[in-house]
Amino acid sequence: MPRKQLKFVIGPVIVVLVLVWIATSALNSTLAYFQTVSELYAMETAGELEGKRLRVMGEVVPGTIVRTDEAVKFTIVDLETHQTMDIEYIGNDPVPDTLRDYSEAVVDGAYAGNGVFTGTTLQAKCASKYERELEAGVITQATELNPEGF
Amino acid sequence: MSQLGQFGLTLAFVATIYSIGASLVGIRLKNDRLIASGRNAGIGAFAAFTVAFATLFYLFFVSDFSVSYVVSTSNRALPFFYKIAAIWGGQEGSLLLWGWILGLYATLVIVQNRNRHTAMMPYVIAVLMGGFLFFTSMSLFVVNPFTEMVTPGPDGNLMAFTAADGRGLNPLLQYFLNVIHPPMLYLGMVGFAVPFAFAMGAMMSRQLGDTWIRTTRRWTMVAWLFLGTGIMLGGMWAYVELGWGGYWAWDPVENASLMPWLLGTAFLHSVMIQEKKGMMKVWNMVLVIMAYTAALFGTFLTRSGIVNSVHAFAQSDIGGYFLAFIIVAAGGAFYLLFDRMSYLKSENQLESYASRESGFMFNNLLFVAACFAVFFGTMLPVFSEWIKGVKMTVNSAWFNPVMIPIGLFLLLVTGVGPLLAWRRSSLGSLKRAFTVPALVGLVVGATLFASGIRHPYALTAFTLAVFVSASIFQEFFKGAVARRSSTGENLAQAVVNLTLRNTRRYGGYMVHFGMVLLFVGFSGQAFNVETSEHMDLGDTVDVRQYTLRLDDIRGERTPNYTGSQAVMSLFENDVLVARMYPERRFYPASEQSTSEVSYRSNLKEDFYVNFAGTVERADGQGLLAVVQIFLNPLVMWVWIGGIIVALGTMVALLPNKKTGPSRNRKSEDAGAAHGDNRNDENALQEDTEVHA
Repeated sequence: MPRKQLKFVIGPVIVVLVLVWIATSALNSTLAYFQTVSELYAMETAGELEGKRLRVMGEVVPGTIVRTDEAVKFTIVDLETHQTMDIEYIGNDPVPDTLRDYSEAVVDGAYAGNGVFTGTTLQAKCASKYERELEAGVITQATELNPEGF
Repeated sequence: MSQLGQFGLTLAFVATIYSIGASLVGIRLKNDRLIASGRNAGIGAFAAFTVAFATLFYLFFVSDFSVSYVVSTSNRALPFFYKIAAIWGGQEGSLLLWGWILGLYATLVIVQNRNRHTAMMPYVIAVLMGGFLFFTSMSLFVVNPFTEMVTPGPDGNLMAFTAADGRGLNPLLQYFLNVIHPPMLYLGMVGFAVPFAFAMGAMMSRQLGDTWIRTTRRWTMVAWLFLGTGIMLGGMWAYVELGWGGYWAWDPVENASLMPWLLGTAFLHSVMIQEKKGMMKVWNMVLVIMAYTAALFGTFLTRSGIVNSVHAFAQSDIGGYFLAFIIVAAGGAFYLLFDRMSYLKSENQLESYASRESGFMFNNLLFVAACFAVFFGTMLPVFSEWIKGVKMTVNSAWFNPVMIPIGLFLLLVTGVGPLLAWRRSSLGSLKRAFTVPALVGLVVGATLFASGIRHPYALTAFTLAVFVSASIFQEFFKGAVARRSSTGENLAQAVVNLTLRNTRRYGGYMVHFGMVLLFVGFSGQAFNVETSEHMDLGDTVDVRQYTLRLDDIRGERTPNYTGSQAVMSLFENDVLVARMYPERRFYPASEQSTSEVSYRSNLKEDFYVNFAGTVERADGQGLLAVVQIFLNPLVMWVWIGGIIVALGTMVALLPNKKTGPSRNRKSEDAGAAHGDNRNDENALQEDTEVHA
């Protein structure tokens, strides 16, 4: 590269370095560990939970959702290991419509020990009725397309 | 009927393969008839695909519940209007829509260029039809929307059956904008296939002059317009339908649409340097390839479930196919670029930081950095799992502090860049161009500071917004004054004619002004107020100068849903200003509940109420309504800005008005040039004149 052009590299490089610095310093203060119930327990056993922001995910155990004036409590289960964890949601936002039996809950917050997780934000996603019926075998989709047709 | 759709897809599949083959073999053998047949087969493939697409419309309109996909996203009680939204309410229909739009674009390109660019076009068609082949195959073999319902018969064999009713459309998707939001978004995403195909065609045919750039410039603008509009509509949908009081949450699904938009914006700018200075040729190729890849990747992200998103609507195992297609498209494109590098030598070099070229360089750097940041944040769970074995995530708490500085820097460049001359700006011209806008910006910024606005980002954004607006108005004003003195028109006429004679330039300024308003709207978030209350009938809540009272809760029943509606009175400074009716609905077909928010919007702020549910009273005697209240300043400016961006883009798409009764070549018209056939000399002349 000709020497004259060198100075036009310096400006962009400075901009990029500043942006990288902003991005990494923001990362240190916002990064959260996203785990299943079992992964969180494993981290607890290894003593690695100290000072970490956590986000835990699991399926809502049917019949466990209890709403009180102060908090919403429910239990989630890791479908692979069947380990469960109690969630106590104390966030400011109302509980989403999608939180109900069998829905997949994602909770951000802190782990207090003894299987109780205190959540400050809560998201939930539920499979559509169609997907649930498909999974339960109530309805079946044709795997082969009209064999007699085209 | 579903057989007709199946037939259409099959025919499209065959015709597409023929079209690709005929185009490629035709150009190799220099056989014009074969090439022509490849063109026609491409149009034929689109026609056949259209038959399939129309069949799906029909199946939805008649509620044919023998078809699995119709059952999955529709039901009898669904209002007719939403049946249209239901057509693309799931995986199968969305991909069919993607494919149809790609076919439509391919056909338009074929018809538009049937007698032009003969050396390049067969390749362009082959590339476009290659993409079309992928989507046709997906619809035909992987996620077929015409699959029929079956059930085990008495003899144990599967037999066809018709469901009594469908499972309904996800109620969150039952919103009028959602009928046009997905098509808009797809028109945008798929639109990047056209510049990509021309870029590939140009490299394959070694015709790397300006032709491909000029041909695709408008196409890119069209794609950009649709994509931007789609993103805005998505924001409106989130704001009205999701009930969390905002329009953007850095959700993977949103990010998926933003990435191609950011790259497309970078390309639309840097393409100007290539046209005028013959620079950044390789870089533009990279941007075109990346924009199309990002559009495909966005679709992959939304559809594969690889990252966890609250509103990833339909997921299946199509991810692998998509990934393979992306790798083939991007890999092939980059290989080709590497191979043709010697044809893409830059004709000029940067001469000064105070030049238009350097403005574009920073513009590109920031847009690409923004895209990379979005990509990084979105994919972090995937990458961290690969590298460290743990899933790590970030949310808006990371995106905002990273994206806001990039956005503000871009806003600054928006104001500075267009005022710089090509090659280098003299100190005198810098003074003339910047004095007024900078002074106006600083005065307004100081006034805002004095009036108590201390939020650093918001203050910076408002100051920059005023600076950029002033620079834009100054450009219009200077041009109009020059025109008035040479033509005798009044100032308003002069502004209109000025714009019509150089639509790209002044349309571009309009787009910039719309962006300024968007940033003003975004900055309003710094002053958001949010509260959540448990209310009994007659209770009131005070938020700033507002008081909200819960008057009544009443039931509602329609075939589609049952609802309970809160009747609320909103007082501003103790004067009744509105009745608000936030509502909770339950949709029996899909067994889902939703909130319908109620909001009062004006230029200053939105008062936004969400009836989020009920809780039992502490004494167990009855229920309390959970009411979420948001006071969101300046949101209206986001929508206004979006509309102005769209209008500005449409102006920029207009052909320049060429002749007029009082045309004077020596006036600003000489510079208000006819982009397509200008040379470097009069391009430079334009800027020296404008700054003179």
